[in-house]
Amino acid sequence: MTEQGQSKPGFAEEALPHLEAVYRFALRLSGDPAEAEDLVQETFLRAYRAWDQYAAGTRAKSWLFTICRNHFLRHRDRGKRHQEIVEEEAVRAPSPAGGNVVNPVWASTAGKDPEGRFFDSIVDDEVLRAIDDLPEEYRTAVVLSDLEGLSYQEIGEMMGVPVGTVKSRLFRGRRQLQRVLYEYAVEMGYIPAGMGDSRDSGGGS
Amino acid sequence: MILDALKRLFGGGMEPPGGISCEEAMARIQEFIDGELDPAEAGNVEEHFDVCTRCYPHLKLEEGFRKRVREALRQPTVPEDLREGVLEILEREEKGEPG
Repeated sequence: MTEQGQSKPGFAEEALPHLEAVYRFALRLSGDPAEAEDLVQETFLRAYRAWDQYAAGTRAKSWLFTICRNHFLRHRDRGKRHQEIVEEEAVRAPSPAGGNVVNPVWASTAGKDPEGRFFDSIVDDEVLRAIDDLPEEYRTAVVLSDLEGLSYQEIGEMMGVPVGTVKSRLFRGRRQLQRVLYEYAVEMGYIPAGMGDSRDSGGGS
Repeated sequence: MILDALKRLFGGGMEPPGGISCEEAMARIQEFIDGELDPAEAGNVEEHFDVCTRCYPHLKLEEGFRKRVREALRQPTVPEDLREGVLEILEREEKGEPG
């Protein structure tokens, strides 16, 4: 990497340390290790070529994620993962008055496993499968937030959407994930089947 | 501080824990866990969850879920030759060789 270092100052120090993070992100985007590896190579090649345009001081990791996702979206196999949403009819986050604040999974498990310990019984592959089944817009937001700890602002800039949309995508994506994992846990006998469709109002104060 | 908490719990008619209702606290769970609330608001939400026995399990459920997702996402191992492959491609690019 010495030669690259000479013609693209800073690339080795700023971009390459994010190789593993970009791979994990690419893996969740594509769902396939070989495809993820290609995606990483493409990402770093494009980043290398465009390094002169990279604004020093901004987060190299976010920039690499953006390149990776843009490339993936342009080349993804239509049909395979193309039932994506997303015209969010309501992009604002759930409001306190929205009646949607209580987690439906909690309502189903209340009294049996109120703190959701059943999540710990679910194997990694099953959790990852559920994540991979999310629409891309939700999946990307969840991965960037939960794995990378990016802020709503950073995710919004990366995905080209307002912060309110990020909030909404995270909320919906996580609810969908929780529902799938809950159903799996019931199926596997980790928790008894739901007690019906009771909903807690959440209002106690 | 404990006295204050007890007063809030049992002193009917007094303001709710953290000065926010259960519904308001629940609506902010996601942003609270994500660290997206300003410090004052986060403090109120935290105080509410610390004190309100009704809301506390909801927070635990969300936190347990997040922890599990984070662990699973960190799990896949990165291929050993990933770095080499990338460096090779950059090397070729540097020399102007076709990919």
